Amino acid sequence: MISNILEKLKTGNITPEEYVEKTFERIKKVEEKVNAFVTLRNKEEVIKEVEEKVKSGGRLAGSLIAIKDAISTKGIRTTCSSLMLSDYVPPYDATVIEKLKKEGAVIIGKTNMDEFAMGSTTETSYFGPTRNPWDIDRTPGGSSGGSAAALAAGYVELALGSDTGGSIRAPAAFTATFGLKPSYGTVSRYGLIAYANSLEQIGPMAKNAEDLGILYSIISGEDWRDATTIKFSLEKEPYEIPVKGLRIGVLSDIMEMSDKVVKGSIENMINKFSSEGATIDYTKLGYAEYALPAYYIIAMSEASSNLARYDGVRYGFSKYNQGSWVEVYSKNRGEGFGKEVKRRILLGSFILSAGYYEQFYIRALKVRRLIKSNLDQLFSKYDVLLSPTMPILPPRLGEVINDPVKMYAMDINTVIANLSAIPALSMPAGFYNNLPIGVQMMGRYLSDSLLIGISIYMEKVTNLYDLTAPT
Amino acid sequence: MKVIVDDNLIKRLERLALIEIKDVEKEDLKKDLNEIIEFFNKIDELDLSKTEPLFHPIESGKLRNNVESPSLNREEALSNVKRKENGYIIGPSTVE
Amino acid sequence: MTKIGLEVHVHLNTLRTKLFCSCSACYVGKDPNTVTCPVCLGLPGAIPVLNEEALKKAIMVAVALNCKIAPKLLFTRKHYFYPDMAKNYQISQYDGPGSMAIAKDGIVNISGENVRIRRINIEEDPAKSVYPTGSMLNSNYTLLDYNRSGVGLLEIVTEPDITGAKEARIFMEKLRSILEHLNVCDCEMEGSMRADVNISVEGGERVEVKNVGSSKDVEDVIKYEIARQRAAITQGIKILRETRHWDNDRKVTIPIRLKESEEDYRYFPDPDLPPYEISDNYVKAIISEMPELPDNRAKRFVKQYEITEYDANVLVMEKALADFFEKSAKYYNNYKKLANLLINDYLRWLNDRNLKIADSKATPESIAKLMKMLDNEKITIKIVKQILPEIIDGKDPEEIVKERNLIAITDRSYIERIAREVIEQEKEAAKAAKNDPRVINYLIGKIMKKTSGKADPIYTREIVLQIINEL
Repeated sequence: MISNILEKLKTGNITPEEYVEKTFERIKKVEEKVNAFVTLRNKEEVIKEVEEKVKSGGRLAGSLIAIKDAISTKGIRTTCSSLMLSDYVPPYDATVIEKLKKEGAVIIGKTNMDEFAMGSTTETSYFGPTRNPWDIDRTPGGSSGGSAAALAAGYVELALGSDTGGSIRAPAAFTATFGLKPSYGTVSRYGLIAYANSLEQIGPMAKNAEDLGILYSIISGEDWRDATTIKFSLEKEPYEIPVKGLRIGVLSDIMEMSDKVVKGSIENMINKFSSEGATIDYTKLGYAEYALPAYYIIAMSEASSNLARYDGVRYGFSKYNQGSWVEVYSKNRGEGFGKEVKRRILLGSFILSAGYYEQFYIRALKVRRLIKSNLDQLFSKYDVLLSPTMPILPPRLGEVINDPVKMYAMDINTVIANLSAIPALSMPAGFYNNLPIGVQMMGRYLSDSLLIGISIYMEKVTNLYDLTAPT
Repeated sequence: MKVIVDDNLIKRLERLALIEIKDVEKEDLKKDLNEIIEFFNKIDELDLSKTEPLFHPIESGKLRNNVESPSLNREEALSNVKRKENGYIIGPSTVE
Repeated sequence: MTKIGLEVHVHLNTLRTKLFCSCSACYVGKDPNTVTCPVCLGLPGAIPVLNEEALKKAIMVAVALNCKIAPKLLFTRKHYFYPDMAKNYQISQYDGPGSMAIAKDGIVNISGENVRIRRINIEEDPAKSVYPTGSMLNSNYTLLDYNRSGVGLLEIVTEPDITGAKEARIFMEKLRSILEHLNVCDCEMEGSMRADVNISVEGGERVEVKNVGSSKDVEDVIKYEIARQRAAITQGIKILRETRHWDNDRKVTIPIRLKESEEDYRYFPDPDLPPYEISDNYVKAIISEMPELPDNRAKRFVKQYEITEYDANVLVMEKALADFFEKSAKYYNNYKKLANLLINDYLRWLNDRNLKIADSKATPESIAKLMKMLDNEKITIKIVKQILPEIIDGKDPEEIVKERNLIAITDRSYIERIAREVIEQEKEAAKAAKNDPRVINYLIGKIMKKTSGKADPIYTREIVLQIINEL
């Protein structure tokens, strides 16, 4: 719990130096195996900053936080785990970073991710895969795998990730941690290196639901620098909400597509909800198998556009500079981007090109509307829609990476929330053979506090929180 | 429209996206793209004739005041530029 | 039938800030790359937010051109790679799914002809390219200055309703006057208004001439192109669709290499800019605060100052001139004479020396004084014309007249003496003058010369006629 650390720092029970030393020791012990960080800051600098922040105060005064390397941090290398940006140092902070700094948080480092957030296992990173602290031969999920691993390995209590199609929730589920994809428009994307703008949000990641709530309350809010943020500010930090009377709809079609052992864990969780007084009903999401292609069509289109700017001129990989811009850009981009990124850019360009725009892009947007309408209908009957976060256990390294469609299929449970802008939270539901399984709760648009509040209540029922992998 | 990913399409996409695809990459790429487009075609099964596309999850955007904020100083702005000259950023030739 | 269409790009240089970021829009004369930010530099993670003032200005122009205004503000991304493009896509507007121009279907009347306005778009400017050798063709690289990147532009496109070179010039002048009156563009600044000119003559396809600088250039381009195309057709050469460039030094159009295929811009709605509703009330509020349009101003001039329609139209062609007229009219109330002086001598003198109205140091008071001195017969009209340049330099008319002893000669006996002297010397002319009135002017001219232009012209003519009759 971050509150424990804050208390200790404030009262002097632990000095900033001790706090930071202990953290770095832990990192030193396991990081070679885990590979959670792309950039770890200099220890002395961090100690100094923690000292300053403990003095100057704030809701996170002196707390160390790990930041996904897709979020711009002024003066600290931000790579998106790509060769293309391997030496890029932003001259500005993302809005969420400004907010965190204002509350006294201290960035310890930038965490590993799938290259440009394109992937579900953190295996497409230029800096090598991150491994799951619960089982080093397996992935921690992606694309915010590094942040999740940093939590699960016991480095930090707080982290930020980003979620375009499940990139916070998948790693949370695979590492027995908590992650929230916020309602679209409640957290500023200014400074988030864009993959798919209409789908993604920066979101909090933590080891328990209270900390998740604290983080969310700090990073959320309208930003004049982001036209897609809404008039929103949390009045209070999220607080515990008992689930008695809560109407839960279990997505049986999603359940059916999940592994038997995963289903088992979720059934367990459902029983617990029921014991606590929630009403359980089995329903269907509908359109599930269409959501996935629609999601990827939209995401790849936006990606092809967002990644057009990487040409080596103003920043980034620029090994080649002789010849016309056509040659120079083609070579820099051909070499600076990894395989999956190139695939998605090419496909995105294809989808938006003349002749195919209507067939793919427009149709995908229509599917999006169908899904949203469907969800609106479901939320008239239910407060929360429940399903496994992921259909499978954490895959082994190399298991899905060479088969794109198989890899995409992992996202089937999570893309719905991105397509329809609603909030979705993953919390630990159980283990199978020491491998974490997460349960996903989706709520109405702007019901983030409700989801977090339910989670605060239920984590005490499951007793699955503040878990550190025994690496 | 049935899509076949052949060398012509790859060439066209290379030009659209300005990404050079080396010969060794081409075969794998064609295979992957074909598979993925097949996967996309799933949405053809739906009757979407009466549905409107959903472009923006947020229905209404916002505007900014016409008030100046400080710009980056030149050093910051050019801090990641590899090639510069007299304060200018050097870009490639614009003659094809 | 000759068909001409114009695509005019107008710099929104009266906006304090750029279109999508808060950098200053006053980039002229600044050191390269000193007016940039993450947004206009296209840094990873930076996203646009539209300047409200730009929307207001666009709406004002749309109203002035009698256009229909879009019910929603929507933006599209237009993709193409080029070194001056910070994001390798331009944020613009387009008629297609999810996007529309800010205004369309307008109409402007040019001396009896109706020119339809197809659309008005809001879009952003790319960076400025400078070539180290001075020419694009033999430079190995390009020097880029992003100060201009992100400055707002309005693109105003007409239907091919313009019928000739002169009409095109008048259209450009009228448009310029509207833009100045609305304070949408300071058209004095170099490059603030540029046009792509599309011309087709009977029997041929349309030819586009890009980036033409001024109204005069537009007229020259069209004259040249019409002649060139007609000549080609009579020689049996077919005019094909092509793009050309205007060489202002040699005054010819030269072909730009024909592109093999149309660029595929892969337009799609910009996901960073959700739609913004433009309500009727919003437009009404803008209309109520709009500055006076030139047409209305001219009508008011005719009514208020009782000058001719022609004079009124010439005055409002340049806002600065109309402003100066009205200011001077506060001090001098023979408005017809005032208009006459400003339109003829004043404007002509400035134009001849390539000076802008803003460069003139003449004040309304000094012009008024000058006119009053003329009315009081203190000076002659010839003297007025003579000393006008010095008044434009900022001198006071009374002082000039005093210093150089330019007071009109109204002493009839003195004039008669000089006249007789002149006629005595010009016996032949005097004889001829009896029959040919033009020779009388010659004699008057001689007298003016002898009196340094000070002799009252009316008295002089009377006296000369009298003397001639006596002969």
